[in-house]
Order: sequence, then C-alpha cells, then structure tokens
Amino acid sequence: MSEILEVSNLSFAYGQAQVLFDINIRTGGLVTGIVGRNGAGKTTLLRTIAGLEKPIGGKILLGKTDITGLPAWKISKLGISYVPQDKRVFTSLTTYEHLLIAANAKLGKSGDVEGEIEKAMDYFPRLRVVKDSKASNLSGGERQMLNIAMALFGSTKLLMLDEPTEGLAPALTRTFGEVLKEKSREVPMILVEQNVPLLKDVCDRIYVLEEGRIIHEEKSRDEVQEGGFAKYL
Amino acid sequence: MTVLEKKGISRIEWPQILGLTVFFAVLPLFLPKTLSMQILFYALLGLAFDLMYGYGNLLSFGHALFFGVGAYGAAITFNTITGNPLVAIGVGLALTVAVAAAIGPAALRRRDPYFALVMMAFNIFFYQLFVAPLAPWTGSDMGLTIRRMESFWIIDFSNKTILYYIMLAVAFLLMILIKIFMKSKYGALLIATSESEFKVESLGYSSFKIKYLSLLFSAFLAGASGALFATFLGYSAIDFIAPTFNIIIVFIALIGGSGTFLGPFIGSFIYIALTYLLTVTMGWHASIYLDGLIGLIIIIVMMKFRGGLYRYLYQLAKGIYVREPMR
Repeated sequence: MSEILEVSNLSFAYGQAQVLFDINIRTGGLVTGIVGRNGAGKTTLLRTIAGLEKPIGGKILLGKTDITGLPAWKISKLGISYVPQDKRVFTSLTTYEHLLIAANAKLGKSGDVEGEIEKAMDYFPRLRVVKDSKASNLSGGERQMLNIAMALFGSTKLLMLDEPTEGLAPALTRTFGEVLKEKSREVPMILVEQNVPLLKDVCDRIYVLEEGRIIHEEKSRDEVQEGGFAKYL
Repeated sequence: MTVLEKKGISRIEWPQILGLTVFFAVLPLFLPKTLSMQILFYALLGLAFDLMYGYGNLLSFGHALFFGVGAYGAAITFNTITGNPLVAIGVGLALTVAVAAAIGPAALRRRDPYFALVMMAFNIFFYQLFVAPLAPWTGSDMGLTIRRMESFWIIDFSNKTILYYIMLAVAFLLMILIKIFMKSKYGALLIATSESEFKVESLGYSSFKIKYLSLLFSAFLAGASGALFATFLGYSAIDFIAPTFNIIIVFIALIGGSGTFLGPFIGSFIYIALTYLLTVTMGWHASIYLDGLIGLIIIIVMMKFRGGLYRYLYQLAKGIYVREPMR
C-alpha cells in the first residue's frame, strides 16, 4: 500500500528543550495510532505535521509533496485536516457558521458547500439540532462532533485526531468509534488515543512514543489486535 | 440557499438601517445639518474602527490616518485636479486604501499593544508629513478649504440640503456594505481569527490575509467617511488626521458599545452633543474641558456600563442582552 504520509528523522524543540528526536513514521490507508504516556510528544508531533510548529530537522512528505515547514493553512489546503485535543470552538460563531467557513475553505467557490454541510449534519444529526446555537453553548461532545465534521469536508487526504474521545461519555465514545471506523474507509487517519479498546478496534498500525522517541511499532492489524502496545501506556 | 442569502443580504436587519436612515433624514429639523452630518460620519468612522477592534480584537490607534487621508485626498483633488465630486471622493478613497495596503503588512504582523503602537506610529508619521513637508497642498495647521466643486449631472453640490441627502444616501449604502461584510464568510472569519488564529490556519485560511482584507475594508469605510464629510463641509481640518483624534474614535466605539452596529451611532451622538453643549455654554473655552469630560465619561461607562451604552439600553428594553445585533 502506498504511503500517504512519510515522516523521516523529524526533530522539534521548544527553544533549547528538544521534545521530538528523529521520528520516523509512515501512514498508508486506514488508521495509524500514536500512543504514549502524557508528555511523550504526541500532540507536538501532530502539531508539527500540521505546520503549527516548525521542525528543527527532518522531512515530512504528503504523498510526493514535501510539506516540511509550510504554514498550517497551506498544509490544510494540501489535504491534512487536524482536530486538536482541546475541543476549542469559535465561541461567537454558530454551529452553522463553523461548518460554512470550514466547507468554504476545503471546497472552494465551485464546491457544493450546502450539500456537504447537509451531509455533515447527516453524519452527526445532533449538529442539525444545534445548527443555530452559538458554539459557546455546545456541550463537550457536540463541540467534538463539530470539530470532526469540520475536518471531514472536501478532499481530505489525511485526518489527524488528537484524543477525540477524551472526556466523553462512554456511549458517545462508542458512537465516535463507529463513525471513525466508517470514515476510515474513505479517509486515512492518524489517531492519538489512550483508549485501548478503541485503538484495537480501529487501528491497523501503531507507534508508541516515549520521551519524544518512537520506542515500539506494531505494523499489522493482527499485531494491533494482540494489544501489546497497551503495556506502554 | 439563494445567492442573496450567500452574500448575507437577505439576513440584514433592514429595520436597523432604515431606522437610522429615517433618523438622519429628519435630524436636520432639530440640529444644524453640519452637526447631523458629523454625527453620521463619525459613527461610520467608529464602525470602521470597531470592525477591527470589536470583531477582530485588533485595537487600532491609527484610524484617524485613514479618515484624514480620505478627507485630504478629496480636498486636494478638488483644488488641484478637478471639481468633479465623484472623482475627488474616488481619489480620497483610493489613497486611503493604498495607505492601508502599504502599512497593513507591517502593522498586522504584530498583535495587541504592538499593533496599536505601530498604527499610531504611522498616524504620527503621516500627520507630521501633512503638517510640514506637504503644507503647500494640505494647508498645514490651517486645514484646507475646498475652493471649487462642480455640479454633477443635474445635482447642485453647492446646495447644502441636496448635498446632505446625497451624503445620507451614500451612508445608507455604506451601512449595507458593513452589514454584508459582517454577515459574510469574511465577517465570521474575522471573529474566528480573533479567537484562535491557529485554529483558523488549521482550517486552511491564512489568518494574515483575513486580517489584511479586513483592514483594507475598514480603511475604505474610514476613508469614505473622511472624504464624504470633507466634501460636505467644504473643508478638511488638520484635526481629522491628528493622532489625538484617535481618542475620540475609540470613545465613540467604546461608549456606544463595541461589537454592536448601533453602538457607534450612540457614541457619536453623545460626543457631538457634549461638544455642542459645552461650546454653547462655555464658548471657545469648551475645548479645555472637553478632553477631561471625555475621560470622565469613559471611566464612568467602563465602571458602570461595561460593554457600552447600547447593550445597557438593550438590556433595559428587553430584559437581557442575548446576541450581537451587528451580526
């Protein structure tokens, strides 16, 4: 299977403090999990791939395009969608306005913006109910649905999700698992998660990160099913 | 969704705009036309400032520059190139947008106090330029009287009543433009950028471009207010571009209610009323007290009516302030 994303010898530092050391990961189709304890560098890795942090070394290829050091908005235009951990929304905008600006960014003027927004609301029917509510009034689960729906518009080549089920009720986590599984058939994903059952359920490859280094890799669905990665959490 | 809905036109609160237009149409029955016009264009200037501050969270101490360049651009064109009002106002507008386009990249790379200071620095620079090196064209401290203004088509621009209602018609169009901008994707993106630039970038938008386009639009509005007001007055005062004028602009937006459409109109009305009443009661000594009084009112409103008088009045009328009426 051809690789969608190839990260080679990626390093990153906050000033003098290096937090990523020669990271090498590849992600093809389906779902690639990145796991590790708090402070391992998982979020920093996603932020660096998304262009929100500038690496001090290494290379990031999206398909054949070198995206190392490009600004975040250009990387997003090239097809990487990033859903950060903090479930942050624009509190002054309505749910619909969120979907509108996200759909416009990904589909451009010629795209069927309204049709895609309808599809997103079909995926997450709850969003239809809160369509005209200001995002400041949404619950944590609704905010996360909104963030994921925003990331799924257009020709997304890779979806990166940073702990999407953190803080969600078990029932909602199950719903997310179903949505992720279904969506992963269309869009490859990188999933940062701590939820072992979910990881075993959806991932085809897993990297374990510790203190900024990859210390373990599970390369096939069978390996992931065995759950050996869980001992590192 | 129809094309009109996409452009935000069908979602405009027409009663607000029509109400304001009718209000300014009858205001000359109670106040001199010059004062009425001053309230209107200072309010639009306050709105221009507030697009950047109330929605983009970018505090500008440089909008007097845009107002002044618009006013002087029109006045100098009248005196040196043509008496055609359309051309003169057009030149004023073009110059304003050109200045904003030139200083925008330097100012918008900075946030918060630095953006405010860079904008103020440019305002001071241009003010000095207008006072000294460009004095032969600007009239320096004395300001610039417009010496010729031709009639346009069948419209006699020397008739102040006709001119008043033409200006009001243009102001009506500017109000619609502001509403369209705020209801559009760009309005939403400007607000989004003020909340989280990194999230906006993650969506695939350049936050710099959003802020830059907003600054150009804001400068266009401020320049239009300046050019139109100078054309109505037949004069451009050096105060229009003075850095101290920014305090008045901030006063108008904040006292009325930053982040609301009607707030700057209330702020402008209060400012002009204060100036007028002080001048009537104290003569030319009024200016000595005016700045102090403005400061005192800012303190009172910020302590007692945070969010501005519009929100307070809205709350009094409706019981609770539930949304931002500008959007």
